Amino acid sequence: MLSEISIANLYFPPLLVYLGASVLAYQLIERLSRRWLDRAWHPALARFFVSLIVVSTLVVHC
Amino acid sequence: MTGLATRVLAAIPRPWTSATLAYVLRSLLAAGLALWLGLQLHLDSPFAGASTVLLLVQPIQGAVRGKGVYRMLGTLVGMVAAFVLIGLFAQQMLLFILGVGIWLGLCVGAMTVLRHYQATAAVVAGYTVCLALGPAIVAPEQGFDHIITRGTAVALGVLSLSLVATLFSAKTMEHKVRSSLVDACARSARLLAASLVGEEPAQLATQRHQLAIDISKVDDQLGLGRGESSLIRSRQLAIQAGLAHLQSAVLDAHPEHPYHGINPALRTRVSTGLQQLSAYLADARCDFRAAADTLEPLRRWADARADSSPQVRLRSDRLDDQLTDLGAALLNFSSLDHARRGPIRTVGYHRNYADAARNGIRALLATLSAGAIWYFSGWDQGPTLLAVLGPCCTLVATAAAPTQGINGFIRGTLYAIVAAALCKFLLMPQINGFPLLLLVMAGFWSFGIHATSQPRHALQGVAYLIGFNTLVSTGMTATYDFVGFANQALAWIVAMLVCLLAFQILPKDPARQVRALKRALHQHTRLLLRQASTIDHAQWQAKQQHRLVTLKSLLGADHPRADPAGYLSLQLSKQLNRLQRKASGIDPASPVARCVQSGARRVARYADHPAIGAAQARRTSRSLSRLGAPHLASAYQDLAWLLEQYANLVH
Amino acid sequence: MSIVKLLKTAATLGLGVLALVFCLQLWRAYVLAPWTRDGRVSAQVIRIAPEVSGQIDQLWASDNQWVAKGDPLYRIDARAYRLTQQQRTAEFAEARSVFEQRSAQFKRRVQLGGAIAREEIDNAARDLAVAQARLDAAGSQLAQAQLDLDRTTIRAPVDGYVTQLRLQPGDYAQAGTTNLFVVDGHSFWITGYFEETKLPGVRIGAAVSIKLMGFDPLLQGHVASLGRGIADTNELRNDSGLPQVSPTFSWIRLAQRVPVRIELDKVPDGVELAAGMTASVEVTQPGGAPRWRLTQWLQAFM
Repeated sequence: MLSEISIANLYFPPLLVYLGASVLAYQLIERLSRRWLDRAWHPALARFFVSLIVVSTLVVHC
Repeated sequence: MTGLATRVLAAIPRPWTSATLAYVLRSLLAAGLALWLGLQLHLDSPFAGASTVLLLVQPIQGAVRGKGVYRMLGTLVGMVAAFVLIGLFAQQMLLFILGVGIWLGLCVGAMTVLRHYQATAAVVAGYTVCLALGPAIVAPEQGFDHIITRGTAVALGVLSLSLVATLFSAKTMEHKVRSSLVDACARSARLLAASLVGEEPAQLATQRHQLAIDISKVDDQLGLGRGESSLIRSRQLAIQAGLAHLQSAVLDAHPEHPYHGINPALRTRVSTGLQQLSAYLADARCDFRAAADTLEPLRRWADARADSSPQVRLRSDRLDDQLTDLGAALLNFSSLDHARRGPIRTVGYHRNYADAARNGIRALLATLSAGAIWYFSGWDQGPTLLAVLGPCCTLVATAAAPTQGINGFIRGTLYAIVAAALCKFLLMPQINGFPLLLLVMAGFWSFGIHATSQPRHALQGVAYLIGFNTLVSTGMTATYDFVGFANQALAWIVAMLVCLLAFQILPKDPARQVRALKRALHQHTRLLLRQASTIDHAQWQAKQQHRLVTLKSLLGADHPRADPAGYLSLQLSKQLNRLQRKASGIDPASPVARCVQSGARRVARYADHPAIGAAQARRTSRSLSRLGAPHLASAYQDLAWLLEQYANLVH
Repeated sequence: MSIVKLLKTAATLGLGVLALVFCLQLWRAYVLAPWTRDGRVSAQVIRIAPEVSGQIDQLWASDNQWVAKGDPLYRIDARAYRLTQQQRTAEFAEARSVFEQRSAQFKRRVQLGGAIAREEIDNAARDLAVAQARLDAAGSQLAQAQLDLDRTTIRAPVDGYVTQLRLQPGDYAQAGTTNLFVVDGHSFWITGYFEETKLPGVRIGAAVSIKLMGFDPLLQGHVASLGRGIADTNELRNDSGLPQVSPTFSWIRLAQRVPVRIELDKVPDGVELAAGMTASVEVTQPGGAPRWRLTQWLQAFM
C-alpha cells in the first residue's frame, strides 16, 4: 500500500501497477487456456472470472 | 375471479417481450452500474453516465462495443474542439454560438460522408461541443469543468455498457455475416446460371435488383461485426473486396441478350456447374475456398471450349469475367476460414458531398436560431436549448425521413416529461437509498429500452430515455425544484421545435438525392471515358456500383431498371479495361498498337459527346479490322455500340 | 450431451464462485484494510507575540532557522523602556529617601516618647507606613519597567524552527499581536484520515508504517489516539438555536473520515519532516502477509 511509484512526478497508485501486471498475466493465461475457455458454457463470462481471479491473486499474494 | 385477474394482468402494458427481456435486463444493469459508479465517484452529474448508456443501448453486442469505442473517440475530438472554442471566444457569446454552429455543421457534414462508426464518431464530436459548451457560454470559468464532466460521463457509460455487453450478450455477428455471405454467393451463382440459360429478362432484373441491395447490406453487417469479432476486423478489407467482386458479377447486365452466339451446350454445362455450386453453398458445412476451387476448372473449361470467332469471343470474355469475379469473391470470403493470400482489389464508396453540405448548413442554421432565441429572450435555459438541439439535429440528419424522426423525438420527450414529473415529484420523495432509487428508475427506463428494440419506436425511445434521465437529473441528493423542472422541460420542446423548423426550411428531399445520384453516375462515366487509360478501373467500378445500389435502394422495388446509365457505364468500364488488357500484349511499335492508342485518345477526347466517341470507336474498329486484328476490332465495335446506347440515354 | 452441458455450466459457475472468493479477499485487502493515502504530518506551532509594543530594531532569527529554547529572536527598540526604567529608578530612589526620612522621623519621635504628644508619634508611624507602601509601589513599578525592558528581547520558547517570518527591523510590533511562528521541533506527529469503515482495524497502540510522499524510507509509529469528533452539517443552528436538518440525504451513504493521531517512533536519517506533508499510512495488522512486493521491487529497481 505504501509503495507508490512515481514516473515523471506522476504518482501511480500501486493498484494500477498491479492492474498492468495482471493484464500481461491474464493475456498469457488466456492464450494458454483459450481452448478450454472457448468450450465453457459462456466464454466471455468465464474469461471475466479468470481475469478477476488473476487480479485478486496478484494483489493479495504478491 | 382468476379469469379477471389474468385479464387485468394481460391488460397491463409490459416493457418487454420474451425476445427482448434479456436485452432490457442487460441494458438496465449497465445503466444502473453507470449510475452507481457516477454516485460512488462523486461526479458532478452522476446521471450523465447512465444517459450515455441509454443512448448507446443496442441489441447487438458488436454494435455496442464498436459504437462505444468510436463514441469515446468522438467525445475526445469534441473535447479538444471545445477547448479551442472556449479559448478563442470566451465571453463573446455571438462568436461562441457561431463557432459552435460551424463546428456542428462540419461534424454533421462529416457524418454524412463517413460510413459506419466513423459517422458515429463525427456525430458525437459535434454534439459533445454543444453539451459541454452550453453552460460554458454563461460561465466561461467553469468551461473546463463542464468539458471534463462530459468526457468522464461518456467514458463511464461506455465502460459500463461494454462490460455488461461483453459478459452477458452472445456474439452473433460472425455467424450472421458468414450466412449472409453464403446466401449472397449462392444467389449470385443462381442468377448467373439463370441468365446463362436465357431466362426472362424482367424476372432476372427484379432478382438482380434485390440481390444487389442485399449484398450492399452485408457491408453494414460488417460494420456491426467489426466491434464484436477480431476475425471480421482483420479480414474486413478482404471481405469488402469480395463484396465488390460479387456486386460486379451481379450488376454485369448487358442491355442486349448477353450470351448470344455462345454454344448452347457450353452454356448449359456452365449453368449446371453454377447451379451445383449454389447448391453446395446452400449446404451448411460449405467452405468458400473449396467452392472457389470448383469454379476455377469450370471457368478454364469454358474458356478453352469457347468459339474463336471475334463476336462470340467477346461474349465468352464477358462470361469469363463474370466467373472470375465470382471466383475472386469466393476466394476473398475464404479469408474468414484461412489466412488470406494474394493482393486484394481496391474498393471505393460514393460520398455525397452535396448532401453533406446541406446537412451541415441545416445544423448551422438550427444552432444559430437556437442561439438567437437564447440571445433575445435571455432565457436561462439557453444551455439546455443547445444541448438538446445538437443531438436532435445530428441524429436524424441521415435518417430517411427526418421530420418523422423529430416528431418521434417530440413525442418521446412528452412522454419523458410526464414520466419524469411522476418519478421526481411523486415517487422519489417516498424513497431513499440507492436500491430503491434504482428500482424506480429501472421501472421507467425499461419502457424506453424496450421501445429502442422496435425500429418503429426507436427514436421515440431514445428521446424518452435521455429526456427522462436529464429531467430527473439524479444527483448525489434529491432536489425538488419544480420551476426549474418545468423550465427545462419547456426548453426541450422548444429546442426540438427549432430543429423541426430547420428541417422545414431546408428539407431533406429524396427526389433531389436521386437526381444528384443520377448526375453523379453520368459525371463519373464521363470521367471514366476521359481518363480510361489511367483510371483505377476496380475502384471506379466499386464506386459506381455503390452509387447504383444506393440509387436502387432509394427508388425502391418498383423501378428495377430505372437506372440503365449505371449498368451501361459499368459495361463501358469493363470493356475499356478489357481493351487495355488486350492492347498491352501488343508490341507498342506495331501499327495495330498505334491504331489502338489513337482510338483510345479519340474516345477520351470526345468524352462529353458519347455519340462522337461512338463514331470514333467505330472508325478505329474499321481500321483495326483492315490491319488484321479482328478481336480488337470487334471489341471496339462493342465499345462503339455501348457508347451509342449511352449517347441515346443522355439525350 | 446434457451432462456435458451441465458440467460446462457447473465449471463456469465454479469459476465464478472462485472469482467471488478471491474478490472478497481483494476487497478485504484493499478496501477494508486500515490504510489511507490521506495522511498529513502535523506539528505544534507556537505563535509568538511581543508583550510590549515598539519598533523592531534588531532581528536575529531568519526564516526557517533552527532555534534552541531561549535563543533571542528579535529586539524591540528599548530606549523608551530604558527611560521608563530610569524614571522608575528615580521614583524608587525618591520613595526610598522619603521612607528613610520618615523612618528617621519616627525613630526620633519614639525616643522623645514622653516629651511629645502621643498623637505626634502615631502620626509619624502612619507616615512611615505610607512611605513604606510608596516604596513598595515604586519598587514593583521599577521591577515592571525592568521586565518591560527585558521583554524588548523576544526569545524562543521551545526548540524548533522559525516559520512564516515576515518581519524586518523597523516593523512596528504590537503587544499581543502574533508576528512570528515557531514550529516545535519535537512535536511532529502524523494525522491519518481513516474512513469510518476502516476504523475497526485501527487499534490504539498498533504499529503503523508511514510513507512520505517525498521520501522513500518508511517511518515507524504507533496509533496514539482516535479523533473523537468531526463536524456534522446537520448540527448547524439557526437564529433560534434549532438545528438545520437537511430534508434529503444522499442516495448512497459516504463513509466519513475520522482523524487518527499517530505518534512517530522512528524517523530514519535523511527524512526531513514539515507540517502538512502528505503521507500514506498503513496500520500493521497482526499476522498480515507481506503485500505489494511487486511495487516494492519496482520501487527499488527505479
